[in-house]
Amino acid sequence: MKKTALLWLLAIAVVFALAVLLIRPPAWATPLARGESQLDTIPDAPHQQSVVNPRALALSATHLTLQADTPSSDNCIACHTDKKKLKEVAEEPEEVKSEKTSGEG
Amino acid sequence: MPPLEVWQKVLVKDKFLEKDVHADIGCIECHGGQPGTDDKDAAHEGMVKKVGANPAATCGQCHVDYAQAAQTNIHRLQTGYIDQLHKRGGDFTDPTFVRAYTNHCTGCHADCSDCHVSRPSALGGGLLSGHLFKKTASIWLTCGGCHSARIADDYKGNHEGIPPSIHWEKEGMLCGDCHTDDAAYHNGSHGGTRYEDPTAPTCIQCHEDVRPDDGIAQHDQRHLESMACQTCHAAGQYKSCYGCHTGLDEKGLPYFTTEPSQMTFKIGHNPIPSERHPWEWVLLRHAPANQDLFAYYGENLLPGFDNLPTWKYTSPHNMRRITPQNKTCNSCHGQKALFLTEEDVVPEERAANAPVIVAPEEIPQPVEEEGGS
Repeated sequence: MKKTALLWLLAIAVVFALAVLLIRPPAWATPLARGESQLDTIPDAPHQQSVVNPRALALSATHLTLQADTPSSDNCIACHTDKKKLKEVAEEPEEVKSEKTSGEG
Repeated sequence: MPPLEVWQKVLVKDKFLEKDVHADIGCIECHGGQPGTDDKDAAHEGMVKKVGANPAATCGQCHVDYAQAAQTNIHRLQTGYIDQLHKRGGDFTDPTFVRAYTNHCTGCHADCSDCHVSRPSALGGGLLSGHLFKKTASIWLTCGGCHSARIADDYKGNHEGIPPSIHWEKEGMLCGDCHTDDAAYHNGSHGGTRYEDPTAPTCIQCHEDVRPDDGIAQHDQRHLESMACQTCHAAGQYKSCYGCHTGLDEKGLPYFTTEPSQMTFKIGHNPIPSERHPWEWVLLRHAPANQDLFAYYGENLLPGFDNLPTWKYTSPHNMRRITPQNKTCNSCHGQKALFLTEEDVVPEERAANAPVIVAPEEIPQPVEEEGGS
């Protein structure tokens, strides 16, 4: 009986530890979702233009990649980095310029 | 600038994937499309090509300030076009007028990606550099890609017989060296045209030593106060355009036709006097607009066409210290051909141009110069 209880306790502890390690924070807690006020800014940038701190931007983007449920872009990248394949399949979109157009625009 | 091969337009560089933070976001996050398939058509289903067109949903997720500023950006909203057409009586509440405007004028719209990721459609489109995001891209591909014949060609001296700007030839200055205000590119809240932009560059920002006692004879108070700098320092003719007409062809595709452009140099009265542009004498360029611009779509869609001149204020970018019209006093004084007179304007446009046309008696008379010239 004692052995069974110990096993149960051990199982619960393992599940809890896994949950702490693996479950993502809720979307509202991510830096991007918290909005611009959470992003570091450089108030004294030229022309008083407040810009996003590149370091914060990089961190945020990494955070986004790790945490968002974004589908894989592997197929996009595989094709769009393959010169040989692009030469085979790339085609101009259907012509939208009228043949009646003439003169400088 | 030759257009890219079609495959080059969509080739993503390894450098982008390895070094550009934007690559971390993933393609589908911004462009949409379908994962899990290597079939081209299936993968592209639902894909958005120009994601910069909606800055708030894409670029603005990180670049918050820029996306907010873009809501009023002159390059995105084309406030200059809207201002000029509105002043000519264009009714943006009239669906017919809006249809004409949308079909023929919005092609010059530029959003975030048109300057920072892609070549403009005027150059055939395609990625600037394998999808790398450029804070400042090649000016000949971006700024000059759209502002070509009427700015970049002036500046580089591409018009036969007309020298380049000294700013380019001697100093190698790029667009951003004068058009420095970051906000000006991203915020167009001033509305109207670029000439109403309070942050637009002025010559005296750099040439602050130009003043009546600066030792240059023609820089007397009268000349400096009454003439825009370009009037004396534009190094020659610049391009004027004429006769733009629009319509839809038998397939429903929009088209335009224009009459051949002409190289012109005309001094006239200032059509837009303001605190920033207080001069009486400025250079004028003929714009392609005409009364029948949208005649295909309906009658009299620009009922106030004559409210604005067709010879408009211009700032040629071929500036040099010594120019044909400032070599001597009489290079300008008495030179009727330099001035926009009534005979330079077609009869149907004379009413619109009345405020800028120079009467014969207004042309400065020749003066006696030292040395007897």
